[in-house]
This record gives sequence, structure tokens and C-alpha cells, in this order.
Amino acid sequence: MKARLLVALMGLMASLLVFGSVLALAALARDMGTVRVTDVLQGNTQAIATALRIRLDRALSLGIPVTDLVGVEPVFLEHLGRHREVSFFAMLDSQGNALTFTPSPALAPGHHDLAMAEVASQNPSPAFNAAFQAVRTPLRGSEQSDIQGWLVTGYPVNYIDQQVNAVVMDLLVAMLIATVLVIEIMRYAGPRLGVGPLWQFRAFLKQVQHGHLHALSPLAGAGRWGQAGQAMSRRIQALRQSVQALPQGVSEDRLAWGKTHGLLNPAAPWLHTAQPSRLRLMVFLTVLSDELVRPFMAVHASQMDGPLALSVQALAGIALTSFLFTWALSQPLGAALLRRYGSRRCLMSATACVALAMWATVWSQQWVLLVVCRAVTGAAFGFVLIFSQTAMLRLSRDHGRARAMADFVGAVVAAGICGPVIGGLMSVKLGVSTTFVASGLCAAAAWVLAAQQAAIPSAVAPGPPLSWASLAALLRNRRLMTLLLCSAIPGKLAATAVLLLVVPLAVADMGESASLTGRLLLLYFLAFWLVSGWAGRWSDARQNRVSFVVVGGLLSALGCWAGGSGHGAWSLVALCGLLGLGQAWLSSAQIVWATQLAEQDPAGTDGEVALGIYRLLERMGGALGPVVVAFLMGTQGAQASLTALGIALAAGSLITLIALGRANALGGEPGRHPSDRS
Amino acid sequence: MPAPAGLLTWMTVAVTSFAALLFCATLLISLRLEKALTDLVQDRAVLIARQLADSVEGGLRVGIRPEDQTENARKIDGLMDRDAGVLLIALLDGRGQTLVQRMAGTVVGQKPDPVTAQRHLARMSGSPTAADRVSWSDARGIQVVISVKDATGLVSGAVWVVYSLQAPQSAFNQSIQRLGGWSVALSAGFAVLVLAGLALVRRATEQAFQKLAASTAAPSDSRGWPIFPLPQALGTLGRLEAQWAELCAKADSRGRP
Repeated sequence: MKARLLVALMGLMASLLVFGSVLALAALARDMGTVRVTDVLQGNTQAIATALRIRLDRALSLGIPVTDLVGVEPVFLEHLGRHREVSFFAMLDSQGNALTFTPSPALAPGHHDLAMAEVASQNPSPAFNAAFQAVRTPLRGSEQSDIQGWLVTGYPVNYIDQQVNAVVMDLLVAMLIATVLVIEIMRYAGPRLGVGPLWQFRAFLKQVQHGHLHALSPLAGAGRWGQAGQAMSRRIQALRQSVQALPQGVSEDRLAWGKTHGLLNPAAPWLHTAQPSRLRLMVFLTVLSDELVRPFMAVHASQMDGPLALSVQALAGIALTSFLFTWALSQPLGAALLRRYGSRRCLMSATACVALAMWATVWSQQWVLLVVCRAVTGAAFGFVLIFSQTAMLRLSRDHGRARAMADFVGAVVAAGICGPVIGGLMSVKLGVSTTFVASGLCAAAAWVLAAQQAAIPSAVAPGPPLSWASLAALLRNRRLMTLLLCSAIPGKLAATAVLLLVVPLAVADMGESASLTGRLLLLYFLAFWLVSGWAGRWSDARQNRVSFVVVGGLLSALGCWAGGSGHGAWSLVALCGLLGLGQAWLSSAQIVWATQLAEQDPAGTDGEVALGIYRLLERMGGALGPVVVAFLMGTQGAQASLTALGIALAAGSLITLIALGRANALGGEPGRHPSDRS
Repeated sequence: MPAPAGLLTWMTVAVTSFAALLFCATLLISLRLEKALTDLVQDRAVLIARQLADSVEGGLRVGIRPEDQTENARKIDGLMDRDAGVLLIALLDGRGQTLVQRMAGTVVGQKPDPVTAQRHLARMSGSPTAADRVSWSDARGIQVVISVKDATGLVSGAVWVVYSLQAPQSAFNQSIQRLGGWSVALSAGFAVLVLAGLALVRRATEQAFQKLAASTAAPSDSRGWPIFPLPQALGTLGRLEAQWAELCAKADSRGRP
């Protein structure tokens, strides 16, 4: 108890130190930045006031009294819209009486009243001084005239605080990204640092504690732990040999005892996590290479020299579509290439192509070349993903396929969390070319990992290769098509529509900045990343796919309903959170179930080929998402569209349950592996 | 089979992660500060460009082409004199050619590129809803190009302003230096704390192992083993060995093999 308290206390201290350090840096920056920002802000305010004064003086120079000037408020509003750092404008007469007061729409109600009450005051209250700085500019008409009035321009004293608040939010996001990065790296480095084997050793001790002797110690080495583990392994092996030396047909009680404690079979090996962890990091790095360039790719493409007949939106859209199109087309070809050339060569080739294409993009000064580079990148990127998924399925054939898929999906989502923010910062500070180079380096690092990876052969004899006949067989597989049409495609359609279209437009309609969009999308990916691993493991442990797919679909439907029936930012939070949760819940189980449904079909379509076709159809469904929802939004509005999506997802889940509820626990996966207990 | 990593490795991982986190925080904070200042400075550049553009458009509305407006040079001089951060102001015609231009004394060779200007003018006049302004930052500074439209709304030229990024950049550099120094100090403190913590854990583990080795009774005391139930596992293993020995003894006594 004392030791546990000590461990907890140390963990708490470490967490406090980390948070405290980060917040201390933010406070230091605030103190440092206040003077500089205030200085620039004052200069801006004076320049804005001067520009306005010139306009007003022009009218006054024509002999119009300041009290008779019309159209002043629209001019003030126009300038407030252009210069968001200004809090209010006011015009006073020569006696200092307020004639016009125009606040910024973003001004809080309390500050609005305070400014309006004291704008004309010669000695404003401390409360006013604490909130605003005001610049008074005389209005004369001409340089020789007397002062006919005053223009008062106010800006917030706490402008830097608004920036610091934004910094704190950025820091929380940065800490999240750092945590995700560290976890991804530790998944790879963990086995090499002995973390995985230590955790397996704990599982081994717990099994022995409860009398299960079917495994030996996973630890080696001359250290205390290794020696203790080896000593226990020797004792367990001695018992096993004694039990197994008994002749059959006699000593029933001793054989029964041996069976109870797992001593009749050879010792079960521990799952080596090095290969899957290497594959996972390779997937993470490859996806990261694309996510780094995602924040600015559309703008970069739109600014290139392209055909003048194409609008800037078309220049951006075609470049993006070329990537997605070749990505989708690469999916069905994965299984055939893997069988012909082996996983190691395929992964090395694909990651090398991603790296080279990213580097070639640096020199693509023409839009057409950029589109070609993006198309090549998309194809290579798609190949890396389909090769990796297939390899992970091969490695996990005997234990935990859904868990393996959760690992794959987790790596993709983790890169989606980290990449855009890092890429956005890099492009701003280091430039677009440097970011492309960094992106290529990520893919090159993935190539190194692919080169270290041994070839992963298929554990079962390959089925019929990809052909029109196998495609037709898949399309005739009613169970698989039900799963695709009722669950997979609607889910992907909803996810892409919500993330790419509904949320950004809803946030823009609310008048909020793009950073809120980024945080909402981050919430989706975070929910996905946190839950998908758990859901995959649980699905494997329970040997159940349908309940995960159905529950995931219903959660996604609930999210769409919450987004469609609510208002404001919280409804969007519910939408992104529940949609991410639901998709994470069903994702791994759905992919594994699809391959199992294909394999169980009497037509005998290969699971690996089926995976490629499944991904192609799923991606096409995802591409339709924004188009379908844009049409719905245009005719029915955003909220009705979300409600319709929710109904479609719920209906699809229920149809899946009714049609496929009995086709559950497929594949006959063996009993639990020792590592599954950890 | 792998073995657990040593104390030094764990400390390196922990301290490196902490230092990396602080470095990222330093970079992020400094970039945010720079961005706040850049936004303000860009706003100033846009204001200056718009002032000149409004003036030129005023002349266009009464039918005077920009190249025929004689006051533009004086107005540009006035704008540059009022603000020391302006590096260049140029008035361009509809083909992107420079009509009037002034550069700050310290600037060399910063003329607007006609090809780039033509591209921006083409984009700004491409459709009625096209943006009337383009802005970006590069090594030269903040660049703002604002279209100048005649009475019918056609783009007849542009104003190009380059504004110095000295204020945001010096703020960024100062922030990096100061916060970077603090990050190093905090990382050193964290390293000491981690070292102390790991040493405590190692000492506690050694003591627990020694106590376990010295214990002659069946090990079952779990104190000192919060995470790894080694005494309990050894205790169970010992009991199972005793059970097996008892079963074998019973079988032997009945004459079974």
C-alpha cells in the first residue's frame, strides 16, 4: 500500500511538473509579449485613426458640421470588420459629447456598456482603463481650422491575454500530440527497451499466481528479473516433464491435475511484438508524411501556374482528387502484388515511391506536374496501406485479428492527430518546400523499417487471384454486401461528410475561427484513437463482431442526431465525439468480419483479395459523402441533413443486426493467447 | 528473449521526452507570439495599401487613369514618411507594370515582379466574386497586393506594399532564447527528479529481492511488490510442487508406476 502510494505520488508530481512547466512558459511569454504587442497595437490604432480622420476631414472641409455628418456608422463598421484588434469607434463633438458610438460585434456585453458610458469622459474610471486604451484624434477639416470634433478609437488592453488563452489551448493540443507521438514511438521502442517483455512477465506472474502454468517466463538476461523468471521457468518445465512422462491410461488423477494446470501441452510461446510494432510505426510514418502536407496542399495547388480556364477551387480540387483517386484504385491490387513479390519487397517499393514522389513535389513548379506527383503519391500511399493491413492480418492469423486491425487503424489516426498541426507549423515557419522534404524523410524512415521487416508469408494457401470472376463472387455474397451497404459505406459516407463539410461550414456559420474546426476534428480522431484499440481487443476476446458493428453504428447515429437536433458548439462536440466513438467501436470488427464473410463464402474468395475490394468500395463511399450531404444541405439545411444521416445509420445498423445477427463468431479463432491476458 | 532496459536508458527516454515537450511548447508559444504580431503588422500593411487604393479609385471614378494621376507619388511619399516599417509601395497598371514606386532607403533590388503581378491581377479580376486582395509573407517581408477598380468594377491596376517583418521576427527570436533557456533549466531539474525517483525504485526493488531471497518460509508476503506479484507466484508454484509430490507419493504407495 505504501509502495503504491509512493508510485502514485511520484506520478502526480511528474504530471504537475510537466503541466506546471508548460504553463510557466506561457506566463513568461505573456510578460514578454505584452510590451511588444501593445506597442504594435498602439501604432496600428493610430494609423487606423489617421486613415479615418482623413476621410472625415475631407467631409468637414466641405463645410459640413460634424453634427450633420451622415453615413459615419457604416464607415466605422466597415473598419471594425477589417481591423479586428479595434474594440470601438466613437465620434465626439467639439464639446466632447458623444455623437456616434460603434462597438465591435465581438465586444462582450459588459465591456460594451462600459465603453459606451465612458467613451466621452475626460477622466475615465479605473474599470475602463483596465479594459481599454483610447486614442483621441482631433477632427479639423483642414490644418488651419479649429477642432470641430474628436474621433475616439479604442483597443483592448488584454489583447495579449486573448493570445495567451489561444496559446494555452495550443499547448494542450501540443501536449496531446506529444503524448500520441511518444506512445507511437514507445510501441516500437517498447519491446526494445524491455517494456513489452516486462508487462508480459507481470502477466506470467499473475498466471502462475492463479495456478496456470501453460507459459514460461518471457524474460531473459542476467538481471534480477531475468534470473527470477528463469528460475521459475526451470521449475515449471520440471513439473511439465514429470506430467508428460506419465504413460497414458494410468494415473488419471495426476493427468487431470496436469491438465488443470496447463502442463499437458508444450509451453505456449509469448507473442513477439517486434514485427507488428515495426509495421505499425511504418504505417504511422507513411501516413504522417501525407498528413504533414495536408494543411496547405489545397492552397499550394491553387497558387500554382495552371490553366487559366480553371478556377482556383478547381486547381485545388483536381490535385486533391488525383491523390484520392489513385489511392482508391490501388486497393484491389494489393493482394496480387504481395503474392507475386512478397511483403518485404512490396513495402520497400511502395514506401520508396512515397518518399521520391514527395521530394519530386518540391520541384513541381507547374500545376500539371504537381497533379502527376500527387497521383503517384496517392497510388504508392494506397499500396503501403493495403500491404500493411494484409501483412498485419497475416501476422495475427491465429490470435487477435481485430486487435491487429485496431493497431493499423490506430496508427493511421495517430498520424491524423499529429500531422496536420506539425505540418501547418512547419509550412509557416520553414516553408512549403522544407515541409515536403520532411514529409519525404518520414516516408524514407518508413522505407528503412520496411527493409528491416522480414517477409511475411500467408499462413493459408492463397485462394483465387483478383479477377472479374472473384469480383462477381464478392458482389454476389449477400452477407458481405449487406455489411458493406448497410454499415461500412454509410459510416464512411457520414464520417467524411461530417468532417470535411458539415463541421467546417457549421463553424463558419457560427462566426468562429478555423481553429475551432481543427479542435472539433481533433476530438473525432482522439475518440477514435483512444477507443479503437480497446474495441479490437474486446471483439477478439468475445469472438463477437456483430454487436460491435451494430453498437458502433447506433452510436454514430446518435452523434448525427445530437448534431442535427442541437445548436451551437456543444452540439458539434457531441456530433464529433459520438461519431468518433461509434466509428472506432465498429472499425476493426467490421474489417475483420468482412474478410471472414468473404472466406466463408462457398465461392471461396480469398480474404486478402476481399480486403482490397472492400477498401475500394469503402473509399468510393467516402468520396460520395461530401457530394451527397452537400446536396442534402442545399435542399434541406444542415440540421435536417444530419438527422437524415442519423436515421440512415440507425436503419443500416438494425438491418445488419437482423440480416447478419446469426452469422457471428466466425472464423473459429483459437483460444486466448497468454499475451491476450496482459 | 529480451531483457529490461537499464536505469540510464529509462532516464534518457524520460528526460528526452520532457525536453522535447518543452521545446515544442517553446516553439509553439514563440510562433503564436510571432503570429499575433505578424497579423497586426499585416493589418497595417493592408491599411496603407487600401489608403492608396482608395485614393487612386477616387481618381478613376472621375475618369482619370492611374498613370495620369499626378498626386500619387506625393501620397506614396506621405505614407512612407508616416510609417518607418514600410519597405516598398508601388502602384501598378492593369498589365502589372510599375507606374510609381518608392522604396525605403535600406532596401535594395526589391521591385515588384511583373509576372507575379500579372498572375495576381488575373486572379483578382477572374470573376466578380474573386478576392480583391492577396497577401503573403516571405523573406522580404509581408507582401500585400490590393486591386484598384474603376467605376464599373473592372480591375485597372493594383497597389503593392511590402512591410517589414522585423518586429515579429525579433519577438520570435527573443522568445525562443528566453523560453529556450528556461526549458533547459526545467529539463535539468526534471532529470534530477527522475534520477532520484528511479534510484529509489531500484533500491526498493533490491531490498525486496534480498528479503525474498533471505526468507526461508513459503514466500507470500506481497509488501514491497505493488506491481509484480513475484512472492505470490512463487508461493503458488511451491504449493503446486508440493501437491505434485504428494500425488506421486500416493501413487507410489499403491504400487502404480
